[in-house]
Amino acid sequence: MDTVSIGQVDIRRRVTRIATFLGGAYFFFYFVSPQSVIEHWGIQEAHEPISNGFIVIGTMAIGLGIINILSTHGSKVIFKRKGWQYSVALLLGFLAIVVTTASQWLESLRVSERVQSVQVLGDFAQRIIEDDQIVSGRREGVVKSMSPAGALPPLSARISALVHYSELQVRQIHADVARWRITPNTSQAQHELLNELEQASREVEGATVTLRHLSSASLGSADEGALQDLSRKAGKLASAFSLVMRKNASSTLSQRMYDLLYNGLFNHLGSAMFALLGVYIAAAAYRAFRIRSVESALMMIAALIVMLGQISFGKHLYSELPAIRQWLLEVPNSAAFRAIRLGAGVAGLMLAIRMWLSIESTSFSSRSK
Amino acid sequence: MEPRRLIYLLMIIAVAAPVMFGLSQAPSRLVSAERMYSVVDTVEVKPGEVALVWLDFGPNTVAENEPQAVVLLEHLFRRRIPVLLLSQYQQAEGFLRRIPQEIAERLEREMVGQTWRYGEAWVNAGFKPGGAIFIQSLVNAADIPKFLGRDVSGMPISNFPAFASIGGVERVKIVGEITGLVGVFDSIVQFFQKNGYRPTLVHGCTSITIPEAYIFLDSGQLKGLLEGIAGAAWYSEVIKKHFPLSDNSKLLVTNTALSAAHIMIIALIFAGNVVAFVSRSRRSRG
Amino acid sequence: MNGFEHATPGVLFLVILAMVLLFRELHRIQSGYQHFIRRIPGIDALESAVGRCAEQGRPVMFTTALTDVGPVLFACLGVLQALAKKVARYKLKLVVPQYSPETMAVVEDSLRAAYHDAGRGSSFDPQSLVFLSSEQFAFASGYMGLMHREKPGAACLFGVFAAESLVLAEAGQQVGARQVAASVSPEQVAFFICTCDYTLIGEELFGASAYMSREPVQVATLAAQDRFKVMMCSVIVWGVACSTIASLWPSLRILMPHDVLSADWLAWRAWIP
Repeated sequence: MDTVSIGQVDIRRRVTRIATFLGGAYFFFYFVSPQSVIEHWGIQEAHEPISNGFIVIGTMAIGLGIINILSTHGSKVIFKRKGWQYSVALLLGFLAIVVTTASQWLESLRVSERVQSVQVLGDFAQRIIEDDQIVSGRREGVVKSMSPAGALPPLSARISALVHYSELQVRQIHADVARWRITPNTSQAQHELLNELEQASREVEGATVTLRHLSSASLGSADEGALQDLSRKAGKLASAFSLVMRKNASSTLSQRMYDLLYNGLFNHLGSAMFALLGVYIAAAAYRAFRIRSVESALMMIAALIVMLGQISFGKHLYSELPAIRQWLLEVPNSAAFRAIRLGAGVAGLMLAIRMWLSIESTSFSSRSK
Repeated sequence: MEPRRLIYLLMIIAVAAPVMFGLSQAPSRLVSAERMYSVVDTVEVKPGEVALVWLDFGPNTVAENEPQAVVLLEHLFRRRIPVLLLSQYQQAEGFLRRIPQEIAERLEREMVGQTWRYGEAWVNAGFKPGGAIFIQSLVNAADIPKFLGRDVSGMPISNFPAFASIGGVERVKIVGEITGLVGVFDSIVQFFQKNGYRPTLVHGCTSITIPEAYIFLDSGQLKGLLEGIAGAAWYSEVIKKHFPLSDNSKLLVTNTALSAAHIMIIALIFAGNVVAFVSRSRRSRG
Repeated sequence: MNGFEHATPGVLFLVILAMVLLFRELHRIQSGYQHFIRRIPGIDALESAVGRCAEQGRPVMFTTALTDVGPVLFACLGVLQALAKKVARYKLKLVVPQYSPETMAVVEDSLRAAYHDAGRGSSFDPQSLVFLSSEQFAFASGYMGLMHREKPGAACLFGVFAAESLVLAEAGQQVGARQVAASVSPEQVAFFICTCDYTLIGEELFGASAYMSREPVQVATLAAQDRFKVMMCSVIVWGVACSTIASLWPSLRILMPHDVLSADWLAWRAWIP
């Protein structure tokens, strides 16, 4: 009789088993332990990076599929095997989508960076307030804004940098707005967004002017108020700017190409394939739904009730049909589905335990190749 | 002509005719959709509280799931409940951008003077990988906007005043999952809860998954269910009853096409049985 | 106290119970106990279909569809390995379309082992694994094309399926392949019953692997599953009885299984004297 072979296992398999066990043990322990225990052992803070790590490992496999496609279809094209023309079509389509998606992604990165460069204005103002409060003992915490030399820059230097950066951003936004206004085919909605953006940038400009005159070594309540005001207005400016950038990004070449390939081709092809189900189920129903026994007759009656109860025609046939349909779905159907799910769930649990503990049959265990 | 090809032709005619001629019928009353409407309509949502809606569908199930997403989001927008939209299915990205924008524009045309702006009515958190692990982490997060980080255009979600003070998951009053089979519905049912907190969970499913969704509706884990296009059609009728200017004509046409297809399939089953019976009798006689 | 409602001592107890049952059955099977497995007609039909393919010189197709690496995949691999050994012995062509790159690596390893066990290690062709797409309907259309080009005599659809199940099965119908399907997704069972010759429902997929190979670990897993299910059924009966009694005599204090299983750690501590 075959026995589970745990004799001579190589190092790689041993490491795999240990890693599997530790990974499974961690998530199981995290799942069953109460929150108080998790917090006591400091696991809560580590959980997110650990979870992200597992997600990253999973996405590394994305390269496997690409390698297989390139090797299978590439070799077909190179050696001109049967159907090589279709492989050419596949590889060209693959290349087109990769190039388009990459350029659309780079464009969206550029938009994000530009939006963040405006967003950081409000964050900077807020950080100045918080650091001053920490330094003066009005707030608990650790000052984060340290220069490379290790010391916090003087308040006046920071405020001066903030003012300078704010003026730079406002000037850039004014220039962008002027350029966008004269772009052909700018819609009315876009003009309205540009008006709001200009309004927001004027408000930031006004708040910045107030700060130019700040020169004290520490912030008074009026100074803090001015900085808060700038932070709030900068947030509004960032939101307005983000809306405009998103609107503009939707009309770039890369976005239009992406929309053509994705919405125009991919989405519609997927929908068309799914639509095949409609005709296939009709063909399958015609071919296979035969009343040959009592059970099949019962199944047919149930199917008719559920189908007719769902459509408006059904209630004209018999007014209680929707209610009977509801009962069929709530009672017998739920019972059957729960039984199937329970069985499959238990089987999955047993197999999961086997995988976790690396209890393999001889089919899967180590052998010399 | 081969029977298979004739069947395909008949089905295409049955589905195409209502769409081409704009035929529409009142949808059948579906109790689960009606229940979902009253649940969404009566949930108390205070300032700072939000709805979290997953749109986990792609082009494959867009025909069924998009109408569901539209009716649910329309209802939430009408109630002025801020909606945090996200997806754990990468192909939903386009729908996350387009659908709420279209609804907002339609509502602004219907109710002149009122606005539904991005950042106030909804925020698009985009695609989030990780499945059940993500949901577990989301539920444990003390500050959901900080956990989700930025929206699809790179803006921190905490920048939007309507979403800045959400805090933990207890302030998510409505959770919606619109999906076929690719979503995280099972994980949401299992993990989106804490001691003393259960959200109002509503679900829009494709027709294939209706029997399975009923398990959760029956046990009370699900508070409302949209059963395919038919569910969305009845939901839109209920919305129209309360807001007569709401336009659901396109959805009703789609639902009528679905009804026509149902009738055709029933007719084909009947025809198949008649043909089988006749050939069986001939064989036994001959 | 915060926490998931499922993370209770009751859940921990059930998992430990499952592990104990598994080890117990492993020990019993290895000591010589023969666990009865009822006949699964679909699997018997599969074996005869492979013979039919050998007569007609047609390939065999096996797909795990949308199955990711996990317990379901391992159940499918058990069947695939047993099938691959037969295919290797008959020197037939095996085509294994793949949906996920991660599963492809696991499936390749498994197939290689099966061919080696059958003594035909050198005839294993890595090209028999065809990565189609990680997109559901792109996979389905690739599968349809493959089906119409290869015209297999037998097709096995084992694993997790979504809406594309009907498309896959109908493609097999169109080329006249003998089809056996096994899905853990109960909503797809209806489609398979219409279009396939044999359908395995729910956990029969997990039992199929043990049925074909009769390997001790797989049979022991099946036995442990069965015993655990019997225990769960007893809990359900207990719960129904308690709920019925409680509704008839509300003043009676009855220990409900739901209360026991869903009680958190604090409640359990309070119960322990």
